[in-house]
Amino acid sequence: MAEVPQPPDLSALARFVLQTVEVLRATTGELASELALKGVAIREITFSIPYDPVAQHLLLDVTAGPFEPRQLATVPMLRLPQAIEVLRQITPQVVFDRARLVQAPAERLARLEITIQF
Amino acid sequence: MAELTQVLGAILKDVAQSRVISDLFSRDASLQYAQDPILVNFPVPRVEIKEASIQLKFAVNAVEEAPVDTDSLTQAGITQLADDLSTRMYAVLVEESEKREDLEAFLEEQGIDLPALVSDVVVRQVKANPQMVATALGSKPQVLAKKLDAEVLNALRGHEALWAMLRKTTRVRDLREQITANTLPSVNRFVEDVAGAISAAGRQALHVDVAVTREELADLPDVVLSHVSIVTEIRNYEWTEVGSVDGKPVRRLQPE
Repeated sequence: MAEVPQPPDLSALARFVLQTVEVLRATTGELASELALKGVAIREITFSIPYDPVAQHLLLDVTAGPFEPRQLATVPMLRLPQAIEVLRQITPQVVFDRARLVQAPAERLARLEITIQF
Repeated sequence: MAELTQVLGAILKDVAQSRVISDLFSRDASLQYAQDPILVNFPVPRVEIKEASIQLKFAVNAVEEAPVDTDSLTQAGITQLADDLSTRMYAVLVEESEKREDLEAFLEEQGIDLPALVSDVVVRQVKANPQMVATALGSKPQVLAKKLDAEVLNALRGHEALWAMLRKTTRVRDLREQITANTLPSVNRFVEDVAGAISAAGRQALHVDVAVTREELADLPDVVLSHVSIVTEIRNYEWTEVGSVDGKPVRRLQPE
């Protein structure tokens, strides 16, 4: 199983998605030998992950406003190289842990919607 | 503490296991059918699970990200690049030359360490041009390769006795071509190695702890919940002979 390339400039959110894909594909590859020759192949995987685009390292008040409502991105099914290009567009400063998300105004939250097909 | 891959990996394993259980049921049923005078004429029932979908809600508890020391990984790559390129240059300029013996005798007599000379040039130039290294790592290795071509050639030219000797055995144009033909593969390998090392370090440096149980997710608003869904196909695998090592067959699992 080839490793999923992870360019060094990707955000933690993008790397989280790619790492998940890589580990799961490796896991499914190992199942065939463990389980009496039955294997599982991933055909597609969809992520929907909320994130706050606010700069993580800037001392911004995460509750400050007002904010324009954000459009939720709708992304069609992508092959892995295209998915990496979409993930590359997420700035490194985004935060996606729930403690920070619940503090931020809901209007400011964006959501990564991506389906990767194999 | 749970990572999403641990949770999903366990579910995927259960999905594959369900197909095994179904096959075991079919085996037991077939034995019973074989012993029954009427059922023996019936087909054995079999459940075919061909596809399964998994949907999971989760919340990200914490993201731990240790910094990746890209500088030290790049430095290690530069040392490797210098070794690789100097070995290639020595091979092409000396070992593969028709005048190999003369060249080796000359280098020994003059006390010239050709690999070290090339290696020094490479290390110096790569360290002096961080922007070119960044460009190379950003998928354009040609610029760095061209710079090293020129600088290696300059270094050889700058060593008067060595240059004179090389010109006796090879035309300048051929020398240039030999250098160019070997620089780009070395730089490509450098880029591949460093990018791979940075990527691997990044994987180890990132830990995302997730919550997946109903209790953990109960009080969280929908807006902070994440979803992942996976569509899987269940395949049968078979052992296939793919070659032999020391006379013994090598077998691998391949999808049917």
